[in-house]
Amino acid sequence: MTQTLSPEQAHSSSESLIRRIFAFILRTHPSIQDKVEKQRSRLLAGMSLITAIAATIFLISYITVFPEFADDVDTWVIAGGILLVYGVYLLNRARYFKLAATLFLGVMTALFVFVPVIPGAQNVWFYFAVIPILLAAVFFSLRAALLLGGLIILTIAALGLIMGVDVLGPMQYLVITVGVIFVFIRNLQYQEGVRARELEEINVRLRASEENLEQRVQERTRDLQVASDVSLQITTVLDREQLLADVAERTATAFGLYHVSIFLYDEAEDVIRLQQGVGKVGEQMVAEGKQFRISGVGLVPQSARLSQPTLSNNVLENKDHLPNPLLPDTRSELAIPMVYRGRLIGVLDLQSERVNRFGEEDIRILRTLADQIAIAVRNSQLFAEAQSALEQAEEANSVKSTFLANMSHELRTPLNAIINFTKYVAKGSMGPVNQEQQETLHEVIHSARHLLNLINDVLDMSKIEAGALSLFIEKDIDVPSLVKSVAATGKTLLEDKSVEFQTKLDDNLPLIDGDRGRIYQVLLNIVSNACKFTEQGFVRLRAYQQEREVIFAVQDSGAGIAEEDQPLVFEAFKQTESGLRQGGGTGLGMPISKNLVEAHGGRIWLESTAGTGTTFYVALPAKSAVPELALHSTLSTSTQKEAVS
Amino acid sequence: MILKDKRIFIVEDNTQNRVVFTMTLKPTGAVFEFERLGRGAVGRLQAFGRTDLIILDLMLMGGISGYNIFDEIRALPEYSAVPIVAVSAAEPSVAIPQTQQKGFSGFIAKPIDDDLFPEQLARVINGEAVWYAGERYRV
Repeated sequence: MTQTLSPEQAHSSSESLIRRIFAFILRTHPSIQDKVEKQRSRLLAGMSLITAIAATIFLISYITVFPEFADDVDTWVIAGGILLVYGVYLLNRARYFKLAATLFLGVMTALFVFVPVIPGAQNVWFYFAVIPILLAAVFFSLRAALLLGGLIILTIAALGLIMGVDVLGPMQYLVITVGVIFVFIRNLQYQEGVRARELEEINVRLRASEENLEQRVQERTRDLQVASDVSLQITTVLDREQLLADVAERTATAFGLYHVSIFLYDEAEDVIRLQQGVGKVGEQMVAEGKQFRISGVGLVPQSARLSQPTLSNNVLENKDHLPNPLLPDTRSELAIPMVYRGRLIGVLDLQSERVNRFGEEDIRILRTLADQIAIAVRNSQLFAEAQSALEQAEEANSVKSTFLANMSHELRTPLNAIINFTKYVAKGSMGPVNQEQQETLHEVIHSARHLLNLINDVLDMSKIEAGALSLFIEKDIDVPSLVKSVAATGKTLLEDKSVEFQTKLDDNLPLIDGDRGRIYQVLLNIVSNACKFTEQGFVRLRAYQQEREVIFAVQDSGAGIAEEDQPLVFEAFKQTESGLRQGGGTGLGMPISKNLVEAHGGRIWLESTAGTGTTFYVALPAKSAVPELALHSTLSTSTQKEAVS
Repeated sequence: MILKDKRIFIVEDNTQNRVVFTMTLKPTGAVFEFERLGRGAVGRLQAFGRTDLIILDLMLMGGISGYNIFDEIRALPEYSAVPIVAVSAAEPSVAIPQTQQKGFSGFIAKPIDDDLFPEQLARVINGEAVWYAGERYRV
């Protein structure tokens, strides 16, 4: 801190000296801690000291002016009083505030009550008796002031009677003062009372709202608990009977109800039928086949009809209520429709033995619950439907697969005889055949083979449709040998045409995994199509690697495929215009090829410009990139049956 | 005459198919015998004596499966090493993996190709496995 003082600081330092003196004079005893008590103590210190000093000056001047009165009784009494006031100051400083205050008030009272009755004195002094009364209020309390006031009034009255002094004037004034204090006290008490009552009221309200809150939390918890239980049921219990039994039981227990039953809506018969009830009574009613027509009387059909909760809080007075002999104690009944996406699922019916059991809050909670049950029921219905559909589909599939297995066997067996017998005859093994006969026999063989191919296509497509196509996966298939083999067959198809068959194989082609026979089938199908539709020019079979795929490209210089026909090429049962005109066949070759390629994890597509030819592409995963080929292991029971043929 | 003096035992219930086998195998010089019914096939086989190759149809009348006969034959010590080939009209894509798994030496789809068939049998007798899924699958 700096030691140089500015003028203001010098000024304030002189001011602080006066302050320090005052502080010293008015210092209270350190034991007095209470703020109000401290103020009172300071006030008493100030008042007593000023009074004592003023009285001392007055007394000294009085004696000086009238020395003849110096030895008077009055003078001594006044001097004693002054001493007592000094004593008050000292007592107060020495922590005895209450004693000091009492003494001060005593001196004042004595001064203003007894001095006026000294013969020759003026009764005007009585007026000053109000001072100790007010001081009592300041130093102690209003009650003390009232008490002191009462005492003073009585004393003055008594003194007036005994001493024959006229006290009526000051008495009026004192009585009024005391009366004012009294009214003031009453007013204070009244206000305190009001405040206390208000506080009490606030307390009561607080407690009530707290209880209410607690109750609401409890209810909400219960609501959530039941709702979450139901939700849990939804995910765990798909068996409807089990689900409804659990829900009814839980609801009855959680809400402390007399009876809970769940009705489900039967759309076909337009009735609402009891599906589940709590306890033996519930079982009995379910066994009896309790049901309502939607248009019928009663809370349950009414709620179903209106799609609104229907409540009767005193069933004995409700004409819509049908008394149930099995549930004689029902007094309140609440029926809540269970609706899922605007569709009536059923009705949740709740019964209590208490009148006015169901309030708005209950309806709200139970409505949520009913919605949950509706979802659960709908889920279980859908699950049951899905399961039965699945079973039907599986059965149908199994029947289909067995049929296919038998058909494939039955259709091929006679062809074995037809083709081989005809060949045998054509070879001359059963005696000489002339040229014409031989040509006819070859026509039979050709047609039989064509028939076999058609049968195979139809069977393949049926298998694909039935999801029963399985691949026979071989590892490490050598692409060049496969291509050469396809090319060899392709060349024979072009023997009577002026079309060149070209083969182009890249070096270092990667190996592939797959069903060799099926890949051959796909490539041969594309190649034989190309040969069929090309009248001059070339058919070119290429194989090359592109990124992680081996691409087989079959290009021809044929008529091409019109743009609008291109999307139809890979679609089953849709032959293109030109295909129909020229090729015959089933038109299943390409759709089957597409399925086979995709079953290998590959792709098939075509590029064509009408007039300049077509290129078909087959892309199969190269060995390093081959994923697990899923179809290999899909030997389901149905396909196993097929194998035993 | 690539199958000359080869002894072949054939289980085949269909008459036409037996004729086809006869027509196809007769020119090859093979010695063969048919068993029409699945039941008693083992007894007939033993009566047939030394055998180079056994041909099994997979689905026989009376619900007997070629797989059962396969097991019965394999249970005989003297025939445990004789190659067995399935010749069947069953769907090749299903039957080939199954016969492979079972331990057959081959599968030849019906209709058989008379030009290929003798050679296919010769390869099986020589210890090679032959899996022929039919003409359209020919590789």
